[in-house]
Amino acid sequence: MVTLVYCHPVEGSLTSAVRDSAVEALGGTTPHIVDLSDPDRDTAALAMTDADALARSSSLILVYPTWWSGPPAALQNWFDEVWSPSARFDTIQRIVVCTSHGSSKFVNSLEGESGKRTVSRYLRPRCARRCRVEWIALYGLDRCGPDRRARHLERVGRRISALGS
Amino acid sequence: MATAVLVERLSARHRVELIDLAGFGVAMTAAERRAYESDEPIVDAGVRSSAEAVTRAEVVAFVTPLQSSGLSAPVKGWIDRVLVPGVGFVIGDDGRMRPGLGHIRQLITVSVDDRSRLRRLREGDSARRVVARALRLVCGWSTRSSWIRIRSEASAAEISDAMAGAARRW
Repeated sequence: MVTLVYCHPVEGSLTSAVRDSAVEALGGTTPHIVDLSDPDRDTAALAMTDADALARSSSLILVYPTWWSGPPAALQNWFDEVWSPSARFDTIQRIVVCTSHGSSKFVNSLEGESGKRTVSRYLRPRCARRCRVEWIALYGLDRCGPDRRARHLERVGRRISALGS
Repeated sequence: MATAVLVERLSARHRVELIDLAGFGVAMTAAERRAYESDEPIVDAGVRSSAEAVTRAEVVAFVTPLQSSGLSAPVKGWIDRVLVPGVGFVIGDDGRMRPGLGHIRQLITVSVDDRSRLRRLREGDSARRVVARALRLVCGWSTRSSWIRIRSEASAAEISDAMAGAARRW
């Protein structure tokens, strides 16, 4: 099973298109979707449901925009609620992050890429021993044309469809 | 309690405006995200009063519990929603981003954090990077960032001691 966490407030955004590409690329596998864009979603109340789904998942896909070098607050909140310090998800072999950064890679390296650290050093150690993190990022979104967006969507599709193999 | 101690220390030299994030929505709303790139990116009254406070401020201080490796969701939500274009940074005619918080001299974070030093190192301390690097990038490298860590069961005297060294610069 695959759990896909989507976090962007606006439908029609690049992030929502990335989510659609990812779901399409999964083909026959229907993921458990955690939709953090729903303002009425009670993340604390659903923490157990999400943890159950994670405990049965082999892959976790995170789809979010990077804001201030890290995940949006709604996703941070999900980490705090579902990934408590004692939680372990030994079945997860792969974490795939699909994110976009408004500014360039250079600016992001100055900012410290805190989201990358949270995923690889806080989430990954709680997964299977050999769990790998795949990072699919689009930098410089603020000044990026439609062709680069399309290439990003293609890349997301390609790398996610390769997950099963 | 940490907040009270910090306010008392800061009050000696500054006028302190206290923003309580209880009830402040964590997630940026769809309306806010749509307005983000417009000339009027602020659509919420609470966000507006925070943005006005930040625009007046010389020092910005956060008091927050930390449990995972990132900032706590309420503080990250406040940063996401308040430091929008025109407040946190300015996007020039050429599309380049320029710092918007050059008037802030000092960032202070008081984290209530019971994790061991080893665990903090292992987990990467992302929270600190968001403040000391991402936020400081829109203030300026001459802006100082103080990070004070206290235990959740610390007494007022211990909290005050923890702040003593850094507070000389505030």
